Amino acid sequence: MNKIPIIKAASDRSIIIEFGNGISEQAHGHIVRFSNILLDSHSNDIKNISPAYNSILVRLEDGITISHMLKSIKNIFEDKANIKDLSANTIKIPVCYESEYAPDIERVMKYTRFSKDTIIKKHVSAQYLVYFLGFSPGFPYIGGMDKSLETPRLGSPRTKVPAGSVAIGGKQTGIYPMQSPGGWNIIGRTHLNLFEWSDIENMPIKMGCKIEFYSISKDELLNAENS
Amino acid sequence: MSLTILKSGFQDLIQDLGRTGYSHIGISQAGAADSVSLRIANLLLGNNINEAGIEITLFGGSYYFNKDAIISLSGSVFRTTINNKTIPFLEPISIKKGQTLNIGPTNDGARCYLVIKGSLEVPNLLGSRSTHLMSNAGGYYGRNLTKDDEIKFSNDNNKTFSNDIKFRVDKDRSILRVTKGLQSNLFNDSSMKLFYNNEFKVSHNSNRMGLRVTGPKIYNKTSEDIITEGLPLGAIQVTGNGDSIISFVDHQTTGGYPKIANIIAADLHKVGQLKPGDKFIFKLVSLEEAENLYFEQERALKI
Repeated sequence: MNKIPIIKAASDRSIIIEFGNGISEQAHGHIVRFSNILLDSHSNDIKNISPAYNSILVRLEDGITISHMLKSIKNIFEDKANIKDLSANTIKIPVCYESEYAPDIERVMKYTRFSKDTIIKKHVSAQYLVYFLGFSPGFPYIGGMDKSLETPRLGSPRTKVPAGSVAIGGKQTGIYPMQSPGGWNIIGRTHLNLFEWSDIENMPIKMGCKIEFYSISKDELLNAENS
Repeated sequence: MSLTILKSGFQDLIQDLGRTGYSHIGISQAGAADSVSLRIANLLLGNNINEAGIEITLFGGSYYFNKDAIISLSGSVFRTTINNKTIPFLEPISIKKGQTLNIGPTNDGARCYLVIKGSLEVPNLLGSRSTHLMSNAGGYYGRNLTKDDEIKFSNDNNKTFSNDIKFRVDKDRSILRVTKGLQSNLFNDSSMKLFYNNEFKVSHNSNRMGLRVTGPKIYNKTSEDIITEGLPLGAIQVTGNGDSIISFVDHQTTGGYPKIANIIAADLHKVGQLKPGDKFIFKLVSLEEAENLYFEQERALKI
């Protein structure tokens, strides 16, 4: 990369690596690369990392000093061998947008003044990027939603959002991999199993992958759920 | 070999030192709220410091042993008896097959730890036995222990006890030391003064994910959220309403509120002992001092 990011202590047991001030695909590319390097080659020094839109938080292993870790992170960025191209997978996600699985689509219709068909058409025609996973296990932070679909979050969050719910929250769209509380507008449901505790290496959605949605009927959803 | 819950406490959870290595896929570390006390309980029995124990919050229950065991209790002192005889904390205790350990309330802090010499036979999920309640995972079926739950244990540890732990728990929780938070520059001088010169009180709306503390309302210069980023353990986030939240062991991996300060690692065990209604002030220290205090604590916990 052409510019060394800002590397500094975030607390007495963590370091943050900052890649610019905004959300960009370029910063995202660096974050995917350097996250992989940290996970592959520095696991003895770190407890875990949290990549995000424009930063990586590195939590230090017990006994590792801030100064030691600052030095090894700087070394990673100075090593040109660490610059590699990424290949991003595209994951196609089937979504049933029928009203039974879309309790908030009317709310989205009200805010956007689009018909249901237009909302679905706009939601399936964009290509999305998974910036990172965070918040709860396997929850993807997805960028790329058509701005005209923007709808504010619910006034008060639901205590239980079913697993597989596809939703719009403000400027973002997302998928709930497991049942959890949530305040986004639910517009559909996928049957894809997006998070499995016993098989986390093979989760379909990973940081850096591309996502496309396509519309399926209720029958197709039910058949897929039963097969 | 097992113990059975005859009556559960307010919140009995299986915890070890946490699930590391998976934060990048959104998995919270979890682990003992007062990890220092869990380590001490394990050291007293010659266990590995990362063995899982039962974390008991506010008041405990009744635990029936169907096999002889050696146990230890640590953390805040809860009224604890076997056959109506009071049991001391911080030493190995022998409990016989057929006896029941009764753990009552406490006048001390929020939590105590019950550890068995050997190990609890609870499934290892991604390297840890810790329970994470929000994702219903880890520990005992991802939940609080309740009546009739049976926890198997093995007595596979023949090591001798260690009674020479140098660490002395400081029970004064009226001052929590912090370092500057990542967004402390978003707060002006008068906000900073409000934050450091006033008492805060732990709200009832607190749990292992975060402690909501009530005190002066703190506003930042822009009153905007930040771009979501990784959340350090002990980060003090300030919401748009001016409320302060201490992110704690079960915290979400990322967050979007500005962070005004961060509890130092050496004081995190005190946060694990705070109860609703407890009052304290935040005291700013340098990063160097915080790191020195952390390494001092680590040395004192080694035998």
